[in-house]
Amino acid sequence: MRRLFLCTALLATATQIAAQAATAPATPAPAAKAKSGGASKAEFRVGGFMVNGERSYDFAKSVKTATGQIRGLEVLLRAPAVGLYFRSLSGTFGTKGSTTNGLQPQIISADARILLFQPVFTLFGGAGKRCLCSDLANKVYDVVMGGISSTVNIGGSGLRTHISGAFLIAPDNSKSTNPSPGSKLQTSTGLEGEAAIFYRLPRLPLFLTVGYRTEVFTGKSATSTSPEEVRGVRIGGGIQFGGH
Amino acid sequence: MKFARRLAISLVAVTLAAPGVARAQANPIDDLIKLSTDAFNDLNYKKADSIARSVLQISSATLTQRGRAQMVMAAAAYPDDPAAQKRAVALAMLKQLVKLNYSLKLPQELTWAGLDSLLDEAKRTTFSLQVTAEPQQTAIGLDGTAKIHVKSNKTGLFRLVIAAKSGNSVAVVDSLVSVPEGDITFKVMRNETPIFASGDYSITLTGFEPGGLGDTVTVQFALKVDAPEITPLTVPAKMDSTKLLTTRSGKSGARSIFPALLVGGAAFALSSSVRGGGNIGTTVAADSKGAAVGGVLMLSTIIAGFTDHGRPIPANIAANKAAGDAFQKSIVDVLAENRRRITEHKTVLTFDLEAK
Repeated sequence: MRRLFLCTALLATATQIAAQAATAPATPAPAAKAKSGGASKAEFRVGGFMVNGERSYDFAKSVKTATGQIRGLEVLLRAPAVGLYFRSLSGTFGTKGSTTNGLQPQIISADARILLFQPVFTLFGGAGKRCLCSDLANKVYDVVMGGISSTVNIGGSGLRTHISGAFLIAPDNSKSTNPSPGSKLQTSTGLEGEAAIFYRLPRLPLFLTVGYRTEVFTGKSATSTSPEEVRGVRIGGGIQFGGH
Repeated sequence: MKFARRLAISLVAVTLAAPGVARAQANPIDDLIKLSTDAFNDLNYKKADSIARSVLQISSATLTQRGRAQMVMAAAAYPDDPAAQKRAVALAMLKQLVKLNYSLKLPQELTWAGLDSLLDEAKRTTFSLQVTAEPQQTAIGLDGTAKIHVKSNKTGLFRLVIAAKSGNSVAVVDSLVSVPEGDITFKVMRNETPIFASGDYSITLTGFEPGGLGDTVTVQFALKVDAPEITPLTVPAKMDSTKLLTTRSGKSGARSIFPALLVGGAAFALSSSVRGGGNIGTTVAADSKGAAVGGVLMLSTIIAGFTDHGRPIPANIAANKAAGDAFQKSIVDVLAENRRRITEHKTVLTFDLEAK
């Protein structure tokens, strides 16, 4: 928890400094200044991405790691000071029957967020569902999240940097589709972070993105605690209108 | 007789010196002409001639008044009384009259059959020229013209010269060739510039009778021109570049370094420091790909920053375009206004055929 707060505070400070550094005007007092380093106009973005990475989980003091992919779809709608963001993910790690890269539960999640303030410094909050789905049982968490993000345009190059961090919490109403009788549910928590660059093609409303994504989540139940970590290289692309 | 002539001139001079009185009474020159006509009718030919000659000495006498006086002189030189007839004098006088008025007819009170015959002879043997024009003519724009009608009893060459009274600068020279009658039409603008400035002009129309012994007739009369000066607006030569706005933001350059470090560092931190709970952080090593990706993100950002040409500033681009459009429009407007001032320029010419 302390690490989360430290990360968040650091991110907030750094993004402000970065935005100022990237946007200091080079010419004195033009009639209309270039807007801040963050995306300055309304933006609509639809994209797909893929995270090539690994998932590790700790079950009964035994850590298992498997490689795999997460595929996702995201939609961003934002005006300069407010926005909406939707995302869905589906990830599969491991191979059935493999001893070194054993099949792990499928990770499926979807969430929606409200974004506040300018892109260069955005606070967001949202809610979604996160499911660890397997043949044996589906563990579904109702997740609430809050975080901070920063998107900084690198001048007129078409490139923008994006970093974000969020704290996830799955309240007591988390449930299992196959609960044990008399079990007592606990609050699950997690962290999610992304660092990426987005490049928008000069004359086409298309963008490409590459970055790194880490998500840690500790699912808790009355009888067990299941820490997990999903991380990997994030690549993607899509359609983008506005935002520069 | 001399006394009577002196008295008449003195009376006219005094009367002319008092314009208010002159306006209240009949024209004193006309009175003199009537006096000479009465003397002629009283068979006092010398007195008639003397008074009529005195009219010619009055500079303010009009052409018509001079013509009337000359008619009296011609009649006094060739009366019905053979003893008083001076045929050569009368013929010379009639020729002078006919020169400027081919259609001349002597008044009934002055003429008789013999004098009419003499007039016919004068017409046959004189090169005559008659000039008429609309008293006031208005010419508008580039194609605006004024017109003077010339009529002669013979085919001739007619040459028109219009010169300013002040400075004698010649404004118009035109001619009419090999016709007995025609219009001399002249434009009031040349090269989109008015030929005439407001002021007084003198028109000299000379008729040349063809042939070695041909006669020459010159008619002079006055022209008053009212033509306001055309003052064209100055066409803007070029835009004031100092008012143009910057169309791009400054290059990102070194300012991209910090965001680059931030995004690269964040990728590295996510791969190495944000770890799962339990034994994951101690059992599973940090992801080396995170450092590589962080490096790629950082380098890409720095390269983008240093190759950046700045971000277009749409508001300034639009403002500059609007300023350019406005500049072009101002040129078009000025040219149109200047054109309008030329095409709608009005020159009013007032011809006074009686005054020299």
